[in-house]
Amino acid sequence: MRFSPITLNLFIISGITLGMTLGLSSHVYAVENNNNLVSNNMDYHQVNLNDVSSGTLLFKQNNSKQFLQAPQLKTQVEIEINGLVANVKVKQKFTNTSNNWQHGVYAFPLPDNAAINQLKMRIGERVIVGEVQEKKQARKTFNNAKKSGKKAALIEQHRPNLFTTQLANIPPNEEVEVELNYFQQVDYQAGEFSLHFPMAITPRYQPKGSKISETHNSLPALIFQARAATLVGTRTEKNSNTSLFDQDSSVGQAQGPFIDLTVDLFSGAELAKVNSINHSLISQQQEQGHYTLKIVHQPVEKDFKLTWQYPPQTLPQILNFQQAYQNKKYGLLMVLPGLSALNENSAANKITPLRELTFVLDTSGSMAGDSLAQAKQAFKYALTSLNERDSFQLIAFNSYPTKLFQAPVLANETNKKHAWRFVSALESTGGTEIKSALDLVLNEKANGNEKLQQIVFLTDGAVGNEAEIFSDIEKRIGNKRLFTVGLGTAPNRYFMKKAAEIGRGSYQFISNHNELVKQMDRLFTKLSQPVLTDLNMSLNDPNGALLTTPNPIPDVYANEPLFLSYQVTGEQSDSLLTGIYQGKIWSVNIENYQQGNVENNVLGDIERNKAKSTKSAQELNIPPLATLWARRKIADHYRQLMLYKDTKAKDNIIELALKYHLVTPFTSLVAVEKEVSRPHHQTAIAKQLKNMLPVGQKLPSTALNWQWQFNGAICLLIMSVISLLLMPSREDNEQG
Amino acid sequence: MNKANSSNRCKSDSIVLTTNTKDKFSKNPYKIILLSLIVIACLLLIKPSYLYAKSVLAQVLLKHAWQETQQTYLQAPEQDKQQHSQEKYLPWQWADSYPVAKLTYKKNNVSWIIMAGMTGRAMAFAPTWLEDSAKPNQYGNTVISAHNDSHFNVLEDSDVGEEFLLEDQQGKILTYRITTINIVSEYDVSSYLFQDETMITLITCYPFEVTNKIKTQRLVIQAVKYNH
Repeated sequence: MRFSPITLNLFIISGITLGMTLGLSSHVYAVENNNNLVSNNMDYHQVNLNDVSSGTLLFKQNNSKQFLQAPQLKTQVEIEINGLVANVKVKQKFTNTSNNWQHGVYAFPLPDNAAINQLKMRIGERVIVGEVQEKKQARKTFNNAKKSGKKAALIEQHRPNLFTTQLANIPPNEEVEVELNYFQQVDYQAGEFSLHFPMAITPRYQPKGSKISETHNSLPALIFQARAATLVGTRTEKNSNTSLFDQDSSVGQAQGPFIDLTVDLFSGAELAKVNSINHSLISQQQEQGHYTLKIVHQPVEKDFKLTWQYPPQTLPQILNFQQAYQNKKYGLLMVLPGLSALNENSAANKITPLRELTFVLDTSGSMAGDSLAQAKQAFKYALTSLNERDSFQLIAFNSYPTKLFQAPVLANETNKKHAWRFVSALESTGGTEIKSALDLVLNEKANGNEKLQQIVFLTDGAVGNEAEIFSDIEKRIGNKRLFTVGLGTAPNRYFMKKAAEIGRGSYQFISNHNELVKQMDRLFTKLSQPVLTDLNMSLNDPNGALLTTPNPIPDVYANEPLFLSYQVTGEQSDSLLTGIYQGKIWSVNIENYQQGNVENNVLGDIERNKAKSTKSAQELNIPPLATLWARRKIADHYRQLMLYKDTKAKDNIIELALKYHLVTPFTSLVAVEKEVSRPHHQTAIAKQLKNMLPVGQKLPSTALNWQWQFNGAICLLIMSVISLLLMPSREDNEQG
Repeated sequence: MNKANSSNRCKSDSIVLTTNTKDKFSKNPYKIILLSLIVIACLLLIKPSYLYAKSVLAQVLLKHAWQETQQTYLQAPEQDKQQHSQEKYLPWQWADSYPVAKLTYKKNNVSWIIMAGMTGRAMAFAPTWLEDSAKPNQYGNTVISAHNDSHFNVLEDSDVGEEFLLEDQQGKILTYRITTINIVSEYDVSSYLFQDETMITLITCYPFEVTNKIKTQRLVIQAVKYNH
């Protein structure tokens, strides 16, 4: 047998191709499996619609080729901003355009500090007001109503910024409106107020299974990427199969969902600037200090963010609002640092307090490569942010901590260079013993100097015995401030957050290495400009009680305001806020301060507008400030629960939520119609409308991808060996 | 494991061939090409075999470390138990993570030792536990993830209602039953959510097909504590 060079080549090539095919065959197998999985999924969803919390499924009837149309949804948002508090009304109008009774599930994001406290279901002229119940109880109430054919709505929280609305028994060709109401505190950053309303954004993906399913009629479900509330993508694909719904509505849908949004901004004074980042607005000034803004029929693609600015000098440095509710007074206090009044005595000699910075750097094995290089870079930033009279210390740790200097040294050129040389030579190896490193830092004596002691703790790793470390920090932190920086994909977030909270500092997570330099720069700039430290708030009336959240009160840095919610029990609510400003004791009487600023339009007008805002919350009579206080308190308890799995915290949350009428992870709002509307002989069909999830974190990568290369290499090997074995026979032939 | 062995055998085959046919090299350029292809193929085999072998071998070492953890806990006097449960036995000297639990998939009767810290490094050796999530067998949501082409490859055929056993450092074993199986985008972190019950969430890449591409979807299996 003769082998020409061409045949041999062909042989080798075919070998490689075979390798590829082998790889692909397992691919086909996977696709088939995918389909099985999908059907499991769907069964589950049908059985247990209440538990739907993720996944984007479109239901198709098992016994027919027709798709059923989910209820359509139109969202209307009304925002009313009074000074520091925004009252947001979200109206979701569900329209059932099919000829069947339907249930709907709709997941949507809201800002994570939103305090949802009201649910109204509107059917034609009737309004049913929802009530807060414990989550399980609320589900039961809702399910009972659903079974017996009553219209019902249920709002649940799935995590701080993810909520679902469930609606039972929407009659054919009718609409039901769900209106929910929440309060939110506006943000302030660098002279600019802002309000953020998240709209749906989901990463898009199209599993391969969906293509196959077109040819498989037996497949009951089809995964698709819900870009929004409707069935856009699949509808066009499937039109040939569908006859259930009219063409008109599908044309309307193909445009995607839209949102109408109006904002009433009672700023109290003329604004220098009103701006929306992602949307074009129609803006109008109704009267002095009252702006109306409108967005009509905008696609839900980008988040709505409104920013507004007062002309310089209009704002007081301390804003304080109070509202009374059930014998208690609730307040929101905002301290704006770095503005003229605080600085007026010392505008000329603008001294920043002296600092002593301790940098704790993780050099364990897991920091290998990029992480450590970036951390070194971060340290360089820290060094440059120090001026000559500040001092610093460096502690590097892996299995054991190492101190660079015996005691903190002045940040002069020589010492900085020495530290930099030391850090450059560090290599990542060993384990992560956080506790011993923290012990070393906390043991450091204060030296009796007046310097502000800041600890920056940078790690990518795991912390085991949190509770022990927390009590350690709590006992020994003293006058120090602890700032935690978490690197990489899996830092122990609760530990870092809680440690920073106990240490009266702040935390930062850097999941993307490219952001490290930017974020570190921001952190160290902030650290170099503390304005007010050691804040304490006390009540003038000794018989009263004052509760603040956050507690302890964090320090105030330049350009970063402090928002403090508080609750006062007792007749007198005058209180005193003390702190250290530029090395001296600084204090301000809160009540007097407010009165002293009445000439300022901002406060005056807000008082005037209060009447309006309370009117909108009339059914409940819980003032917004009390609601916000409760919301923050719940957030505190929730953190407690996450950290210590303390079940008492859960009871506290439920108690607060029931009292202040709030939706929390353990309580839901439920509204049920009194009479039965769906006749018993008709059944309703379940729909999941869409699932919008905020983008941000990412799940871990979980594929080694070794098999592809392995298969290819094995094929190449086998083919070449076979070819080689066949070779000698050719030479024998030639000789013969 | 089998595949790793076979790769070694192939390697030795090629060496034998090389010696046998050495003198005929000059006569036939195709032989040189073929031999170099064999060498390339063997080189290409090294990395994937290493990755897979690492994940299998590490489990052996981890199981050893796990037994040690358990024994010291059991032998410890009652009042010291709390403290001992905190101790960590490193499976190998340079490890920067430690075993936290043992997960058994009842259907296939396979078990894995779970390591702490959901990092790529740890996941090369064992399924990993997200330290943000609840501790194994404690109230809350325990999140565990592993590679879909090493440890969690058996989860491809998992079904609702199947059971997992989770053994923690104190030796307590709880049974979990699968209640949901979902395919989600890699950005959908809702499975990290704290839940109001004792449950586990297993995450692995999806689909299971063999490709060279980065997988953008995840299979999320949630199982809730089952009381007998």
